[in-house]
Amino acid sequence: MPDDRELFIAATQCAVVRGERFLVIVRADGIKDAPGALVFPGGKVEIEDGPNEVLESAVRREVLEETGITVSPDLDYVRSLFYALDDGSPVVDTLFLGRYKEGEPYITDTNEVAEVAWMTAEEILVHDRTPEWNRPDVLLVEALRRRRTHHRRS
Amino acid sequence: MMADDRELFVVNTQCAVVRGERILMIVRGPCVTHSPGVLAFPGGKVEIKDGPADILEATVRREVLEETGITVSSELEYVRSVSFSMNDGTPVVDVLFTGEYVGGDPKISDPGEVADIRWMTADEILATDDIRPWLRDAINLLVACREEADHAR
Repeated sequence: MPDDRELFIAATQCAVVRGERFLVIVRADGIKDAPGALVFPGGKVEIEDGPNEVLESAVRREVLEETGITVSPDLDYVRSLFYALDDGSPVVDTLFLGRYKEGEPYITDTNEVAEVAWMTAEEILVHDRTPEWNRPDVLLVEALRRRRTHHRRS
Repeated sequence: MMADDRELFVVNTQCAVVRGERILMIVRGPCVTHSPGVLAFPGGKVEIKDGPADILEATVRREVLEETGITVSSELEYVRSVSFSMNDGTPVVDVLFTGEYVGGDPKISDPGEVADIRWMTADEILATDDIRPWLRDAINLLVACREEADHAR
């Protein structure tokens, strides 16, 4: 591999909106990265998620796997971010905003997910399980959600 | 140690820089490993130094400026993501953005990387001989996005 190629884990998250609430998960305590954290569902991109809409397919798959919820096909890109995992692995993370389509929240793998819930942005922001790094994303998607609701009404 | 279930990708970004009816295009130079001589959007691979915030957008702005001398608007619109494999099998996640021209004149700094820089209309790009299927798809998508945006206005 030539030196100038940096390789990344490609991660995606989705803030799934239903009315005024967002779909959130509490990550299991035994999980390696961010145990016990209240976050938006999502996960790592796999080659099988491609070739088309690779990020969107990955995030739809992860939301369904983690929460039992199907997201509507149209997703809005929100932002990208770099971070490193505890072991130093570099991650390029993307966040999408989606709308609830169908399904009831349910946990498939208790080793990965401890809780699934629908919460307002305010409830997420005051929750003691919400990590500091998740707060800017919550504010960002809430602003987008309000703008969209406003557009639809006008 | 990297766990087995983690797939690693080259993350690539491209930008369709729009100026009126025209889109900034490059002809890839003879020294690039992927698709030399091919008509493409400017762009390139994400480097850690482009982050942490808005890492994809920072990468594509840097690459557009490096490759063409053109500055893109700070507001970029996400168009689509795809994946593909490089000749050596390395998997790539590729993200396309679009933005408005802000300033600068087309200037090639590395002829090995960029053979030519052109401002082209969508029709001119679609009429190019041997246009790559991914580029045709991307142009059609961009035109559709633009019509939708004009309609919303």
